Amino acid sequence: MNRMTGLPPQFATVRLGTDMHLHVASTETFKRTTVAAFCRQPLAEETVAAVGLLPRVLRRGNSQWPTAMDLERELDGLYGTHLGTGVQKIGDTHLSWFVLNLPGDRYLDQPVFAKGIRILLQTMFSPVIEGEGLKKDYVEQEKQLQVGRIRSLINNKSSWAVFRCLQHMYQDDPFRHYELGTVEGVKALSAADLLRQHRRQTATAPIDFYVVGDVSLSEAQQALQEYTHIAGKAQEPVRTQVTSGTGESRTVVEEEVMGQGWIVLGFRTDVRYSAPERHAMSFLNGVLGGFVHSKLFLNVREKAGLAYQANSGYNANKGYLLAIAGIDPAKYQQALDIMLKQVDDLRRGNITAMEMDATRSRLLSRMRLTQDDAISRMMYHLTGNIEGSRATVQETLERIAAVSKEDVIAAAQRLRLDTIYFLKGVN
Amino acid sequence: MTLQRQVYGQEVAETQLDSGLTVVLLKKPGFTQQFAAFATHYGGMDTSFLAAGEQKVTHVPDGIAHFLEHKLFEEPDGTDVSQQFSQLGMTSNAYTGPYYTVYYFSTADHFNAGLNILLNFVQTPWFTDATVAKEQGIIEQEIRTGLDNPLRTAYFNMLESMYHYHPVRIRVEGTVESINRITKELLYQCHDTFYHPGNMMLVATGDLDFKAIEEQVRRDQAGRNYQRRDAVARVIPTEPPSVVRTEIAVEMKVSRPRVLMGFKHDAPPTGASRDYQKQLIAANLALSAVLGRITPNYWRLYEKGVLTEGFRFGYSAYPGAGFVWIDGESEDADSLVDAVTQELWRAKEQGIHPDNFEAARRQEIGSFLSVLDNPEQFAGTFITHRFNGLDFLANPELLSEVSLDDGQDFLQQLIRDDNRVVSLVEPLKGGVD
Repeated sequence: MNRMTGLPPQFATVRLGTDMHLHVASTETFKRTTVAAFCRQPLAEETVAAVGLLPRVLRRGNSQWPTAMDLERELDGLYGTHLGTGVQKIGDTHLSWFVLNLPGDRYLDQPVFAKGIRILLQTMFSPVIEGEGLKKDYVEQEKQLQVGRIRSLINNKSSWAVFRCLQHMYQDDPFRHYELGTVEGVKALSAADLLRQHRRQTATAPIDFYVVGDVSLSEAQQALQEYTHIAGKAQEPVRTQVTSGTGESRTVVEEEVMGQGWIVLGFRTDVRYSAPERHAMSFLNGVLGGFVHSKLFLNVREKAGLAYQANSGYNANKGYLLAIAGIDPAKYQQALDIMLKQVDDLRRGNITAMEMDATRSRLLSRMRLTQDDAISRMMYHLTGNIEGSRATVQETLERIAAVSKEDVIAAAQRLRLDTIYFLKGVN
Repeated sequence: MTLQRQVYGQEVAETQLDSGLTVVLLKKPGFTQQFAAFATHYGGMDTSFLAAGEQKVTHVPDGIAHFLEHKLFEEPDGTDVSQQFSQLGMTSNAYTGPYYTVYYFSTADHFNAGLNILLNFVQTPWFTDATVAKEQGIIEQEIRTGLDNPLRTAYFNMLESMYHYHPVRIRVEGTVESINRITKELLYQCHDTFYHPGNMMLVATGDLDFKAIEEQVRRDQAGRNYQRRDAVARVIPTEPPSVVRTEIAVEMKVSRPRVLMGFKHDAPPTGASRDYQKQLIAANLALSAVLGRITPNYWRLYEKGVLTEGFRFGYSAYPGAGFVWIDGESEDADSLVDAVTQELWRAKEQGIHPDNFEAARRQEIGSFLSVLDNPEQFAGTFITHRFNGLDFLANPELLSEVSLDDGQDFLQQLIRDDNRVVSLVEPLKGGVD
């Protein structure tokens, strides 16, 4: 713990190769150690399905442990070490992740850290190859499961509503691509496509390794050593497109057989992650709907009793803000009017000192609490690297502390309603 | 008397105050988060009970414990107590389960101030007809969100098919009909019965000092003049060993079937014991050893697309009820049900593979450590274990004691034809577009 800042030790970084870095935060706070590797690519139509599927296929086996059973037995020998792989979007970056979570060596009879790293690296870099492609059975099985995952998006109604709203908002933007691609895109993939994608990624994608746990920088570096030669040429960094749109809004109503209805208001902003105004926008979101003292919660839920869930979320990477409420479909107009009025109040500067204070405290405290979670710490650091904003946690805390009411009102003028989306429940 | 314990370097201090309230600190050196949960041994199951000093059984509408949880947040001046936490930069929330209700706050500093607000609002009920009516609207939307959720639908259909009378079948939030029968008088009565400190515990986590917390809570309790009471008597009807029905299927707008299957334990142990906890661990190890990712069969089914990575299973224990549950999404629900049933039968008849049982044991040690790294989850798990008569901290020791025979005994007892329920949520006929 740093006495000046009250923050635990932050990441120390070493360069392992061209565009390959290792970041280590050594701490005795956790009983488990988290290791993660993140691999960045541009989000693009041609690659979205392959990038999305690849981590799943890699998770099935590698040249040293070729079957899932081999891999499970090895992980199990390391006291139930978890290995997870997947993808997500950070702005217009398509991020592949490989996460290893192991018990800390000092709680065990035999050390597991170095062995765990070996499994992680084998998984990332040494797939099972068959002829011109990755192992066909794995590819075909994982394609089928991926199709099931994409189709099952509809099973959670509120996230389905958010997903649909974003698709309408970003029709002509790389961000429209779902991180797993489309059913058609996945079905069209071949084992050779995946091997090509793997080779391309390994050769060109920037890779960041992170370690949070009771491990020193040199221990981590040593465990990773034999792979540092893999790093290849640097690719062009991805720059997320952030645009405020035309300023004209559209209303989209879609129907599903269900009891409730979900309203999603999609707002765009022209504020990039690296812009200083990002903190004012995040502050605005706090006043509008981020917390239980926020306008949406108080007016839609507490005063009008129209919803159980009524809140908003700000995606600083892409620069959009969504307000959402789950309502009785018959009360659509009433709920919509109340929601829009809250935004209007922000633009007019109807913000109380209490709303400012509570939002500030909550944002500061939320930022500090990320320090207790290994993955949150990694994601904060990585996002800064991706979006070209390398503010330390301490600097971010200072910026949140400095946001004024005028800053929030100014941010509200840069909020443009793009889409009113209503997922309407019908019998 | 303070009880001090240490497991895997995790320090735990505990004491019981004169009011009957149990106070616990799960010490987390180096953590920024300071957290406290104030919990009552009371939940959705507790709809029939003997109120203090009463001879006659009180029956209350389903969903009242959860309704009460919502209403306690409202202060006499009409504000929500969450606002007070929020003003201090703290989050607060609550959740209600079948036999527990937990209120908590989380912060990075000013722990004492948060603790005072928490202690105060949970112990100060304030309800009016108007606020009760307004909450009915909010909770109705919460119930409807649940009804649109395929997992919840499949789960409660399974429990309602498994249990004739046992209150574990009650949906914690109640129904739109039952919550409309809730009145402020009923809320006061439930609060008086179940929010007595003898029925509650306070669990703090963080880099905090136990003596200071104990002192603060002691002062709070001293000011409230509680009289010691006997434990609340809950009325649990006799449950026949049989199930209500073995199959149930409904249609919803889902992309693929959701399968919930269960095996009813017809004679679950009553009352807490070390033996019981050991049986629970044996049950979960046996299930992992037979159905888990460490078995070739798991991967066979995975390769065929019969099960997906969301496949989960476990043994759930409630006061007077216990059952095995298996949850999966599958394009081919029938094959999943058949394959799981077949594997369990095979292990019952031919024995659990000893290597797999050991593998499951190692995984459990790792899982125990991950709970310790998540203070909120740690506090919640500690509380639910305790209210169910179990001791979470004893898990590592019991884990090392459990034998393969214990796991085998569990399968002998539980895996039968007549106690199995299969609950399906199927896509709407006519297909998904």
